[in-house]
Amino acid sequence: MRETAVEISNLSFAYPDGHVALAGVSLKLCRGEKVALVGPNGAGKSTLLIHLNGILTQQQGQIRIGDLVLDAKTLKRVRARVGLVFQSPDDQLFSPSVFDDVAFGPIYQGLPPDLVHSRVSEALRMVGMSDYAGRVSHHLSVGEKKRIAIATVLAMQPEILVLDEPSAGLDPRARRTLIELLRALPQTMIVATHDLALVKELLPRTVIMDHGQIVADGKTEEILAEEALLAAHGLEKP
Amino acid sequence: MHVHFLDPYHERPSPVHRLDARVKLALVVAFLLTAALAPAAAWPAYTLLLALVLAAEVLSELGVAFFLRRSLLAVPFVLAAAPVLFTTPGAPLLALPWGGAVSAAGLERFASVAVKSWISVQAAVLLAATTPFPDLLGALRAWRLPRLLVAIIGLMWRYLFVMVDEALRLMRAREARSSESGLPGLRSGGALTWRARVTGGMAGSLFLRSLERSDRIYMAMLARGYDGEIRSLPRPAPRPAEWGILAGGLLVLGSLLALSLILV
Repeated sequence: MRETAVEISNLSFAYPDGHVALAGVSLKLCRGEKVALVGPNGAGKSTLLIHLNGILTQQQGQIRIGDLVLDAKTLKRVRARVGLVFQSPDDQLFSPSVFDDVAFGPIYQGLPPDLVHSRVSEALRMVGMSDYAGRVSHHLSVGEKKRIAIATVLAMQPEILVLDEPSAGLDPRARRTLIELLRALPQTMIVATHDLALVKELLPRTVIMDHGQIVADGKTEEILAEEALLAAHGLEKP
Repeated sequence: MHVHFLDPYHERPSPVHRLDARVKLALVVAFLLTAALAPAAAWPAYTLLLALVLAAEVLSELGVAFFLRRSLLAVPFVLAAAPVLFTTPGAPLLALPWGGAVSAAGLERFASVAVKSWISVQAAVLLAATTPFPDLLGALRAWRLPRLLVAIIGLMWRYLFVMVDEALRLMRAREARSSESGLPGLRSGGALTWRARVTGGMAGSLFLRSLERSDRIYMAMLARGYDGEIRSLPRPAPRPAEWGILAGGLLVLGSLLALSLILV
């Protein structure tokens, strides 16, 4: 049995307007596992993802990242372990230059300058963007921004990568580059997406969410073969 | 993640809500003028004005406490009037250590300004809380406010929410990467100047994106035939009863102002 990387037990969350986004979600991921989170819009996928990073705090239930139970005290340690890549790279990239953006996490952690530099160049190398350190994020293409956004969390050397709709808005070539990039990364991975072709290619395990609950969890090839199940939750067989 | 706290409109089935926006706007503007023009220390007039606005607040079914809370907005504006305490000539009431003095006349004027702004803000809050924003824009246009101004106010209102949402998303992304390393002996958070630079970068990127968005919006508007005026279906004219309310209200406010000018 492999080590547990993420353990979510009975997590519930309702927004202030009363809308219940998560209703008793439990999920366990082993180290190195790559999991797809699929389901219709409004199923609670994004809400679940931002819980893993403590952006929203659980109202009920518990989240455990490795040996840390997520609470106010461990929050910042958990954020170093869980790299959250938002859907819109424009939200993720808020600094004037690519270097500043990738360096944000390491500088915030208080790492010494030479370590910050090596983390940044390592992260940019992993996403194949080494030549872009001095560029202005604002002028990059969507695909390039997406890869820089991934580099901004890789620079913190997280154990777990959480990605929200990574392939949305990418042209076929940028999407292909992204898939190859994600395939090469060794981290435990949770990917919320509508792109079932990407799921089939990249992620061996699939979890379907609907109405704030997990309605199916299993091997990707088995779940994608069940057309009735997919249709019941607004999905189409790729 | 959306922002709702900015929207002042509160739906209720009250007669104040149902009153035509054009009538409401005219009455509130007349009310503000009356309060502004009433002379200092016209306490009976202030009391009557307060009674009028309180009556409307009760009719609006939103609760007087709601308006009292919101009227705290007036506090900073009142402070701007503080210099009259010291600059109005008159018998000194309280000598200050550095030479100036608070006069009785100055205190009276300051109290008048404070009460007048407090009453006026309540009237403005009442208008905003009982009238949906598009109706308010329609009313401004109906009273012949230049269409460019109305268009600017309308677009600002529409995109204020978009921009605040965007700012919140940027801040959330920053929070997600504000972490603590597992390495021992490091202090997280970064230097103050560095944090200030990051915040400056965020403000800059928000500005750039707003600028680009405004271009896209303008093109989308032109594509649908925008020529400087946002049209809406014609509204029915105010009913006779509403004209009556308008005339009655203006008469009351006018006589109140005349009395306060004569009596003080």
